[in-house]
Amino acid sequence: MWLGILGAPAAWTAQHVFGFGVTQAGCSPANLSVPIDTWTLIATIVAAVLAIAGLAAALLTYRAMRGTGQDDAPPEGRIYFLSICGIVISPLFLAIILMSGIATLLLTNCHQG
Amino acid sequence: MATVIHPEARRRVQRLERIWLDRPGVLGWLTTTDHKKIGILYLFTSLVFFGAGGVEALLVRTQLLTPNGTTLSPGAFSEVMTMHGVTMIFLFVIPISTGAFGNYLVPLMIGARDMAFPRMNAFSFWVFAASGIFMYVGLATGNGPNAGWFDYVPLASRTYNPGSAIDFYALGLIFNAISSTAAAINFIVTIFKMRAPGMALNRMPLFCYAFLAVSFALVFALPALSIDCVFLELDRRLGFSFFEPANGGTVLLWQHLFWIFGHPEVYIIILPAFGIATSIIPTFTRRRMVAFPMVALAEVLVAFIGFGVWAHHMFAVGMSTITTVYFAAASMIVVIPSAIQIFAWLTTLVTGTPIFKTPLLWIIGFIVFFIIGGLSGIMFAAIPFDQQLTDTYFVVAHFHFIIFGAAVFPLLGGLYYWFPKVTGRMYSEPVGQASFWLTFVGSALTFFPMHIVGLLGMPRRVYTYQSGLGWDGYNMAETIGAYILAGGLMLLVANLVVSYFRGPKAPDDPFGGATLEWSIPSPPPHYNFAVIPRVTTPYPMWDEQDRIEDMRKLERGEMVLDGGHETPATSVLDANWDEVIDMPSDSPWPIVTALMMSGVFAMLLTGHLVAMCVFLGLMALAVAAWHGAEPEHEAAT
Amino acid sequence: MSGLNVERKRISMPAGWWGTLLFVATEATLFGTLFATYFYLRFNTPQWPPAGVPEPKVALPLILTGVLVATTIPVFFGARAALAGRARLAWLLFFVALVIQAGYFGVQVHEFLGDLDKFSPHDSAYASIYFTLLGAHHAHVVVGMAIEVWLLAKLLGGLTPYRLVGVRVAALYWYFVNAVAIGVVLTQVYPAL
Repeated sequence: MWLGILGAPAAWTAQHVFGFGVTQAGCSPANLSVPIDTWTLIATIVAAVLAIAGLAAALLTYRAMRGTGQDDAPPEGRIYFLSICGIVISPLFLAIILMSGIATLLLTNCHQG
Repeated sequence: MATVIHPEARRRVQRLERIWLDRPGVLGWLTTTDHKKIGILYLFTSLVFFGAGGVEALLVRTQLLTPNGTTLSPGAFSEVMTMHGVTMIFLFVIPISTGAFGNYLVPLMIGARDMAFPRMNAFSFWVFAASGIFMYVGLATGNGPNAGWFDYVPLASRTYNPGSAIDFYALGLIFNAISSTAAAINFIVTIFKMRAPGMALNRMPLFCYAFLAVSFALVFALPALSIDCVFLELDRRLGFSFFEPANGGTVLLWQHLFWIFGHPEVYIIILPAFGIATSIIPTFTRRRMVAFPMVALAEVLVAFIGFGVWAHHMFAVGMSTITTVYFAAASMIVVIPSAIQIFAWLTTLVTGTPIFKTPLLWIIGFIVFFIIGGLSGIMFAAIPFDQQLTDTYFVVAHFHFIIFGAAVFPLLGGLYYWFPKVTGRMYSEPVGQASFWLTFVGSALTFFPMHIVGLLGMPRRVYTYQSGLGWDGYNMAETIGAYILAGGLMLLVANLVVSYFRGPKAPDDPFGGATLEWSIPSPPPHYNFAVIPRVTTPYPMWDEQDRIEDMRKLERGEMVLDGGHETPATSVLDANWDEVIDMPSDSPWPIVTALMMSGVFAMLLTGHLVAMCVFLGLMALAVAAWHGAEPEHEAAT
Repeated sequence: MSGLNVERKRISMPAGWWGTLLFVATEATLFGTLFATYFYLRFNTPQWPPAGVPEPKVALPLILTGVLVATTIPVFFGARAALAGRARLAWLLFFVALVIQAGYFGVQVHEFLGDLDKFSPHDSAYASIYFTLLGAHHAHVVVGMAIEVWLLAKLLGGLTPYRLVGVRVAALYWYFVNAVAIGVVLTQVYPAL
């Protein structure tokens, strides 16, 4: 249940902060030689995998709680409720992860826009 | 349920009344720890600041009524415009939504007798009030902050702003942040630990989800603003070089940190409005909210994703596109949770049986403004579009639709909705509807033309404009709209004030609401609930069996917790019974600590560091005294 | 009360502990922004540290931080002792921790002032963030010591459930300060690594 709700957000957070940091490091006056594309690709793939794992976990939890009502007594009702949340969350974050990763890889590095 | 008939039950209620008796008079208000009284204090204080911000807005609009206006000099305009933004955001909208609505209603909705930390609650209020006074002292002494509410360097640096205006700003905001952080921590712990037994996460009202999201956002966003202001003061007062390009600093550092706070801040502004809307809609459509788990989730998601979009306020500063796309992507996806909520609200409205009373009208107005404002917002997620329209009135239109139309309308609707509960009187329905329509028309007239005039190229923050650019007519319309809007608000205030003194007595539950605050008398007694309620769904008032069971418990003396100032604590996820907590009663230490803290900030402003240390020491003593008193009896189970 | 098990069976941490956890979250975020600022400024500067500024010492800061982090041990066992009702042992362990932390703080102040003589925040963004980061950390150490002083004074009067929450709060706060100290020292010595 926890992987279902927290996996995808954690993955996106990590990819977002790391990716932002990598582009800043590579494109800034300090002229550090940072292989931006490689790092971005790795970060995006790892994050996407984690987000998909989150979705899978949420789906499995939902299936296991089939037959529970939304208002049911805890812990079953609460687990069912949070599994629905996980099913909605994971694809959303997967979308952001893929959108930013793919765009960064396609664009010219360090081009001011 | 107001009149208690059974003699055993009446005896228990009288015992609770004696235990929870308040200190009377002014001293009572200064030392109160009752979340309801603190909510009222917040309400009136933030409404005073609303008036100040409103006057500032009217001054701005009057200056812009015609080209080359002479109402305000350029310097005065900068101060008035800056203070309008600062006041409305930090001294009105956040305090009224978290401090007034949140404080008053969250404990009631979760079935608790007070917040988790009642004295810290009082402390938050006094610090908020002090921080507002602090900043206005600046304005009153001719040192009003004048670099915009976002206060960019280098305009805010010592070189270009040598007086103390920016020091009032920076120190004032750090001061204010302490209040909001304390309040946020209080909300989170209250919502986590003080829910009535049985109110697991899947049975918690959506209002509480909104406040949980707001509080987490405050906890994680405010440090960025505070440290930014610390850097600014270090640069200004001690000559540090954070923002000095010649020494390796950069002005973009200010912008990044400011918006890392600033974007979550705008979600903090809107989320309580979502909470109020999701409370009013089920009541006035007589049905449960559609897709409850998704709406709860959406409220939290908006806050969470909102932390990752900050650089969309900086698309035009020259960062490389590989950096900005991360933010463009997140900015596009953040719309989806908001859309989920809109669809849920609309579906609930359409499939329920709507009763078009004043509170619901404000919510419908909110939905209209939120859809338009949201659409203009998503347009900014597209980098090329944003770069064309950044710093124009199009942006001003967008955020006023959202902040005024979407954040403030539910607050006004909420004032009407909970007025009977808080005061025990009913407001006038016809005048209420009139106040809505006047405000709605005024807002539309004020803020809609800003889209057009922005597209025609009118920049933001200008104190005047030339004629002949095609902007004149729109500006005039906007100013007229502003006065109509002000008229609508005056009518609202008049309605509530007159109804307070002369309105008919209100029953406990005039609208058939679903959440627990409607189960107690209007106005509520200090101890809120005579019996700690049993909860099995997110709509407890619509569960007749549970409420009848509660009455029987009162007669039997179960779950009354009248051994002292008592309230239960429960577990975080499932609200299983854990222990009984002894709550503090009235205490002078919160206001004393707040006063000492004001001394610290005043001395920081004037640069008297020894005096500052003295106040700091006194503050530490006050905090020690605060924690000196221990709970009277250690309640076991 | 010191011989009995005062802490009642609970299923969830007390409200005071949760409040402290959230306060720790705010402060952790604060340090997060300080670290981010450090590296943001570093990326913005070709030469780091800038010309004329000496590279940071490595050995002394690491050793000092090691000493501070080691005080986690007396704090942890002090909290355990308090929860088991052993007031005197708890008092002693917290006292030991306080003495070591005070010693650490004294040396750090000396180093801080010495650094100020060598390079000034007026001249570089490096120095600005260096001194602000260290200053923020030392301020948190001072607050932690003040909390311990208050706790030791209270524990002289014996253990109560309320004071036990105080023990848990003090312990949590110190775990946080010690964890952040590791991040601070690594950032501080980074240019010399």
